[in-house]
Amino acid sequence: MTVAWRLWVVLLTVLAAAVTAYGMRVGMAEAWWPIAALWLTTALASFGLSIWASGCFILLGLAMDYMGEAPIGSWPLALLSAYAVALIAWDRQPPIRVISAEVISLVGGFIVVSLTLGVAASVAGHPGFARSALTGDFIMTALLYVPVRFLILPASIRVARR
Amino acid sequence: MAWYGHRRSGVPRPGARAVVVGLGLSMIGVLAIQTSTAVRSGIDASRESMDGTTASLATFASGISSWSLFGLGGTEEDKARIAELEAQVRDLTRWKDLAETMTIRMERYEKLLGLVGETQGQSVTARVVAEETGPFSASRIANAGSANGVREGFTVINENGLVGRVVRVGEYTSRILMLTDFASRIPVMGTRSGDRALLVGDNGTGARLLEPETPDKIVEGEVWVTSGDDGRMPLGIRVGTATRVGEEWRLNLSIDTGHIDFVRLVPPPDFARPEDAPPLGGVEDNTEPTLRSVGVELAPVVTTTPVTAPAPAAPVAPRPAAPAAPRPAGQGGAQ
Repeated sequence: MTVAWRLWVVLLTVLAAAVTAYGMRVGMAEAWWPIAALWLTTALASFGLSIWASGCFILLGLAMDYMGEAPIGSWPLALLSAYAVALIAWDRQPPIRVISAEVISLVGGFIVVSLTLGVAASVAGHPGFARSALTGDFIMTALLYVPVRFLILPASIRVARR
Repeated sequence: MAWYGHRRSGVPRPGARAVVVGLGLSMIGVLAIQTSTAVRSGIDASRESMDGTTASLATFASGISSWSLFGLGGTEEDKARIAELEAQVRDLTRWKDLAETMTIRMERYEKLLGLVGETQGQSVTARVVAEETGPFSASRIANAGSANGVREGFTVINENGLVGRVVRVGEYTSRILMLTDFASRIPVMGTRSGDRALLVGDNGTGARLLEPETPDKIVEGEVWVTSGDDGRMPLGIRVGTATRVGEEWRLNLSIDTGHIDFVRLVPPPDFARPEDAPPLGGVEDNTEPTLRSVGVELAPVVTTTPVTAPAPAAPVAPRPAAPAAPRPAGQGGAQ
């Protein structure tokens, strides 16, 4: 991967953290807010396995842990799991259509994030975990992925894998 | 070559896979060691500083969202809202004067009655700058911290009632644990039934009454307030109204009736611990064995024969040995 690509990944990570922080402003507690990190796991997996991207997911996850009062390590683990699911979808042989890979990455990512966070909460001895709080956020993530994919998924990949 | 380089999708990279799997396993290790209280307290220290960063980010985000087009002032709606708030301030000023008068009167009544009230320290008013209702917690961040006199354990209230309590304090920020959080446990009581219970949050959806003493006495719609049984929260702060859901009682929380923007951070009641009480001035412990009343066996009272007590002769009815306080010489004997 080139330096330009790595900078692009860092920029996307910072933007995802900013989107998460934006959802914490006053009056937004009950609103459905997208999990921007899931857009990244879906989109960045299309480039193949990358340690750089994994590192960025860990940093992003740690920031989300601090913002959301989650046990430290739960969001990084959940994002790495979602990244793994997306990699499986994108690297299938023979390759599947782009839209199929994206749907599998997103929906599979939702499921695996939900499960991983629950497991992380019990491993860390957290007093509770509300899976229902994620459902609305997942729906919003999926709805907004449609326009966002044109910004974070290069056209060359979309065309090549069509 | 594309700007992102050759796509390596599908190419086996065992080394990279091993690294990513290792990262995942290390995260599990990080999670597991958090069961240790020592590790958790260390993480809490780092969270204090991160709360400030989160608050700054959320405040910045709020600032962006409130920018009006071209920055040329507010709309008619904004002006109407300002006028409405100004009217409310005038109204509230009148109520404030009335409340101050009532407070002075109440203090005088309490003094006259010799009533030991709940002494309160100085409370702090703050603004909520960040909100979080996620899968792990329901909390808020207020823009007042240790520099403003806020300490861990402060009760948080707003105009509608109890909001929660302060669980972590940074220099200029405080993390407020909401009533609805899993970890929230607050002793409450019903105003009509007098029943007492523990209010337990279930993260975002509300709060339920855990183990009420006499659940059959709870009245639907009854107002519940803080009982102050834990000694950390003032008595009588409105929490919500009771409603029965299935077999359990829940509270429709008062804070759900409006936004939580400005809050008041109230210190715990300042009860003096018994060991801190100062010794009574001029009164010494009773060390004279002849004056001790504890453990002295009483002689059976015989009513038919005259009492021959060694005490100074006095025409008094025979009485059991009473705890005698030392008196100055010359004042003893029957009165």
